[in-house]
Amino acid sequence: MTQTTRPHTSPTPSAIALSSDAEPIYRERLLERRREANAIFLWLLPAQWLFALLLAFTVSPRAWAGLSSTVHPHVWAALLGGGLIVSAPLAFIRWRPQDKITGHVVAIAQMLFSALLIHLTGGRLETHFHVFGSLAILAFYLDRSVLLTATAVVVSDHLLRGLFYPESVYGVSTAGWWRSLEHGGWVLFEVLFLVYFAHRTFRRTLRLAAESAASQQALKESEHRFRLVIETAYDAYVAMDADGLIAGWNEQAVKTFGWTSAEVMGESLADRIIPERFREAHRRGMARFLQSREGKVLNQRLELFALHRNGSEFPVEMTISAVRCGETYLFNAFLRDITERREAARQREDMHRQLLETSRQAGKAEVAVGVLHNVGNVLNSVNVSAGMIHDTVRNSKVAALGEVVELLRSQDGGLAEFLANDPRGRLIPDLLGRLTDSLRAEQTRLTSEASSLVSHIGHIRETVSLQQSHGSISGVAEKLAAAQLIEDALKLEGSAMVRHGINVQRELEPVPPMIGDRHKTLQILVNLLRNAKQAMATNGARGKQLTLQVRHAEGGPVRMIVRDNGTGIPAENLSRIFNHGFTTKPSGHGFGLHISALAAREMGGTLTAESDGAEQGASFTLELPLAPAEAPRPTNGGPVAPPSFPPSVSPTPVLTANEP
Amino acid sequence: MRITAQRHFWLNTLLVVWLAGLVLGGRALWVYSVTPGKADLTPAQWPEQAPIVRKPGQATLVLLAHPHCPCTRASLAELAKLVEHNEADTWILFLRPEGAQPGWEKTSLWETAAAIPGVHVLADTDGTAAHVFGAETSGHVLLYDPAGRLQFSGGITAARGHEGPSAGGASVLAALHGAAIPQHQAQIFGCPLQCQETTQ
Repeated sequence: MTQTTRPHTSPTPSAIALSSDAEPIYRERLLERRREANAIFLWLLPAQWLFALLLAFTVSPRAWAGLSSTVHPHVWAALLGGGLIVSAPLAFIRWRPQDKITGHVVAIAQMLFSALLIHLTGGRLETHFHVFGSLAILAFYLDRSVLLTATAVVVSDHLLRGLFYPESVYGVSTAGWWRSLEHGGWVLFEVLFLVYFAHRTFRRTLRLAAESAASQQALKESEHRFRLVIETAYDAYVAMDADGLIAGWNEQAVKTFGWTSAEVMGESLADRIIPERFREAHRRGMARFLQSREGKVLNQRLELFALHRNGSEFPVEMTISAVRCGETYLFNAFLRDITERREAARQREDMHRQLLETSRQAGKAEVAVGVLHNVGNVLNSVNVSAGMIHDTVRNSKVAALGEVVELLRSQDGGLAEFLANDPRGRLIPDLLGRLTDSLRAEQTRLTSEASSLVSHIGHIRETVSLQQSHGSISGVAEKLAAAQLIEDALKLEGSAMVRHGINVQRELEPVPPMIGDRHKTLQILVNLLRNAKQAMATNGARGKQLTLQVRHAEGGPVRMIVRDNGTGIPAENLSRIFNHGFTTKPSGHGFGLHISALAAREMGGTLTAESDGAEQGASFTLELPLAPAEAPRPTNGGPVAPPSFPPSVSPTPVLTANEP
Repeated sequence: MRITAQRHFWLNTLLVVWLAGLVLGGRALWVYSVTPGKADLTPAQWPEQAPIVRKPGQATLVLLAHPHCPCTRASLAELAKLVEHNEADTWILFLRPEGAQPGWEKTSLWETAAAIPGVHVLADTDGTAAHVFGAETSGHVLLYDPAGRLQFSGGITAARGHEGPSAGGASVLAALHGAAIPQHQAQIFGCPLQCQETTQ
């Protein structure tokens, strides 16, 4: 005998074509219905058997003949017949619950139970309702053929009895075959509706199967996409269940931690990737969350240390979220190895520091160059004055005076005669007069040049002193006067301004003292003045106008503004002008403004730029914080340490460039 | 796979045996249900030895019953339907065999019979009436017309203990209505009234 293990289900009607995905769902739904119907009859059949026994014992326990009695055949019919009726369906429900034949066996048994109960109750009309109730329950199988089998049992019973003993069914011996049909017809009446119900439910099952298959397919695709996203993520994905066991591990996690998915799935997460010194804290945090549903580390970006398979620790950036799954939680973590990033940050920090130092040195050098340039200019004047003095002294008429004196001494005793009569003697007074005029003129010239020389030397001394005052202290915050700093910067660049024909306009309001590094501030201002000078180099007919302003609004910082009417800054460059390496000058290096901005930020200030566009000029604003109120002197009379930078630097200072 | 195949084999075998058992069991029950009881010769005229007095000019309907026979409950139910709209003088005689204690016949069947309106219920002491009327099976009904002539003798159920229309019941009803009687005799389904009857 060949048997298959595949449960037999009705073929799907051709009217509704099911996809290969929907077919199993449809079959499973039908089997589920079958299991539900079986579950009903699993207790209903024995219950009916018990009821039949009770009925037999109650209604007809014994058969009598005069005074003697025996067990009534109805008792045996209920006991043996009822037991026989329930045996096969129970066996089929137990061992072939998914097979179609089970429904038919149950249908036969159920209708025979109707017959048995009708018989045991003496053919009571009321008991016949058991037939109709049974048909309704059999409809749970949603199988038309099962209902037809039940109907066939009823009709066969009536046909056979009508054929062989019509009185037992119809009460008259002359009833025709149509009476059988009449009785069966009422059964058919109900069965037709039940079949219709079964058919509708059947089609609904088909439709639901198709919809369910479509939903499952969509879900499967969604899961596939999710899996792809997780597997191709650049970050390591690690999932952990509420017991602390690893429940998810993507490809990047394999690369990051060195463990394969097969090696860690179901293992303790703490033992695998958390350094030992953090494990206890991790367990406490887990316990706290599961108790209070509050987690300090959830839903935020953290930087922690993780453990690699080789035992080494490395820094990771991590985000953890907790997802509720029924009564438990799943913790999803995305981790990124930030070893390289940290190293890059450290190198960038070093470079920044070096850059600052370099810029500071460069700034000093630039200021020094300015000083030397000014000193050189003054030295030229000194040189000219010295040359003039030298030439005046060398070409002096003093020698001619000496010759006159020698001539007069050589006239021993006859000086009067000589002056009166000698032609040369008569020229002497006139000559002395002209010598006197000449020497007086020389004296005037020498005096003037000597005065100029003293002035130039004084200028040199002043310039050198300025350089010494700005360059001697660096990195120390002190109270600064904005107007004075602008004047100092102008002194350093003043000669260049004059040489380039730049008209400098000062609008210096009295403002409170600000705090900053004197040298850095001067360096920034000098840099801005030079940029302005270069920006106005090609101004031509419109002239060169440099405006220097000092402003202060109540409660705000001190603002030093350098505005020119030069080439301006196009809008597209305005946001990049402070970037390192960005320059619009052919010979520039993109260094000065970047360093200036950094220096401003170091002092807790900002450097911003504004421009209405090309050829519209530009305005650079240096803002520095106000100096704090005078601190009380220590009671012990000790020195007050100068404030160190950054005095009021925000954690993330913003380098801004205002849009036009 | 092999276990499943074996299981299917045994289940199919069980199915065949089951169907065969159902057929045999059903047939046995069928035979029991439709096997009638015995009946002796019934007097064609109202017997003078009868323990009850017939009312002249009125039809007399007599049911002889075993007070413990469960099958007779169907006969009582059918009799109640017959007398519901008829004027027949109706008697139900419950057997009290010789040796039975007084009250032995007072069963639930007696109470059911007594509850039928217009029906006289009597104990048939020592089975005298049954003997006089020739009744040997519980549920035996006799109908005498107003002249004391026997119109019907037999059972009024279609099978043993089975309520519902029957040829006997229809005949009695026709006689009571003065219509043509389809048959004057019918099979009787019930317990034997006499002790010597040991088979059902």
